Amino acid sequence: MRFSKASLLRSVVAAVLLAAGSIAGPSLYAEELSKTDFVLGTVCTIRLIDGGSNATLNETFSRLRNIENHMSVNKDDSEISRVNAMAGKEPVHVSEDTFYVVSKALEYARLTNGAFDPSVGPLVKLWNIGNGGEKVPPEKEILAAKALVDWRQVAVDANTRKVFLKKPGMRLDLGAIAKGYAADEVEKILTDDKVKAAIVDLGGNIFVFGRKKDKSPWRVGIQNPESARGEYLGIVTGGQMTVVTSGVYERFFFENGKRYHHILNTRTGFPVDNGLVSVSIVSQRSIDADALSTSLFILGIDKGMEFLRQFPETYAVFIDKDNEVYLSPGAGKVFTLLDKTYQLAEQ
Amino acid sequence: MKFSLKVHVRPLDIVIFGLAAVLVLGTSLLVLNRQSGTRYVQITGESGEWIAPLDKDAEYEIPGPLGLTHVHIHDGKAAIIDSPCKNKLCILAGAISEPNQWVACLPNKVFMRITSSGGKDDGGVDAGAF
Repeated sequence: MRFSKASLLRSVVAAVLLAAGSIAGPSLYAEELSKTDFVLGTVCTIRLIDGGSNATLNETFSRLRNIENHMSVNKDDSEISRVNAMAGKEPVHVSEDTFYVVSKALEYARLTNGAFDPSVGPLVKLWNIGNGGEKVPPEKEILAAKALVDWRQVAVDANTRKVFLKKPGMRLDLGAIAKGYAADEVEKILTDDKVKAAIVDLGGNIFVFGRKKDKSPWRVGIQNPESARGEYLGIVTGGQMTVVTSGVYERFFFENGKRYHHILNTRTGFPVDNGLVSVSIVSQRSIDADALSTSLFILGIDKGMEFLRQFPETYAVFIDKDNEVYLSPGAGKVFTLLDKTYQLAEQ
Repeated sequence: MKFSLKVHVRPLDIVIFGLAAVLVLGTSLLVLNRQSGTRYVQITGESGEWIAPLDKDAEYEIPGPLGLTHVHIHDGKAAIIDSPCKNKLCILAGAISEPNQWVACLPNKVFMRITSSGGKDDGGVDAGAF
């Protein structure tokens, strides 16, 4: 048999194109790299959808661990624990990380007039919600803890990078903002490593990074407060963004038929009781989304909507106990309600 | 103007197209098989990671720093039915079956997530915020 070179080339090219045609297209089934670990007091998962390597994953988790070691109140040797231990005694020098997050938390405390307050630590410790054996503390203890909560008594010195709690017994707790900061730090690593698409899930705080290969928008579900985890009330659709939710359904306990959740009102000393069951924030920066979800939950719908006006391109979805969904201006562009048992409130 | 279309098929052309057809068929079957959306339970503990099919009833004991966490897979759902933690939130979380749903026993460092081999089987959601 004799074959011409041209004929052979034609055949090979055709065969390759045929084969390629069958496997090209969206990488729906491409193997992704992912890692899950217990960090920042919760379960964190990072999925590299397009680009990146195991080294990227290891670097991100190393960074998360580093932030936890600096800011956790559950580690005796963390910087925040040292600041708390030195309350009323002397200022403590902290890392740039910790100083930045404490300063940012104090900025939110100032902006919300104390609704968001990183010095809530004595109340958090007293209620101890989510750690087992919870019960409503005696009123006397709530009053004593409440008296130690005052963000204006937290002194920070940018020159020496020192943090000082002026009254003995005061405690910082960065639980409402540190995970947001951590997600932003993960984003920096993903950018440096030229990752094209990734999903960062820090205990339910979501950061969808980059753009998927098939160019379709990201779709982030917002947890249905009344259903099992993973059942969504609605979907947020868009490009790179972060979605953070504060809700009454994650950490709570019941006593005498009443639910006591973990979002505390520093003025009453009790869990916030304003009819809201969750607030979700959609934003570009996770530290803001994290602080805003707690801030807006505590402020409530009216004050929260007003407060949000100063944050451009940031949207909020409020859900109340009557299954009404309130959207901040513009949120309708990114949020779609799916669950028919909820309805969009007239505004 | 005159056009002529002549197709010369040679023996090697047939062989190569045959190989390409096999390749096409093989990859198509692979893709279709994965589109069926088989669900798995991915369990992560301190000492490693386990993956089990969700459609096969089974029980597993996952070791953690506090002891054994018992995972029960039944009727296409997975649940933590016992764990040596204080608050038992992992048990109260109930059974999970949908892709990306997860349950964790934080004190015993056991994490369980539903995954799917088919990307279209996740309800069209990339991630869930809670």
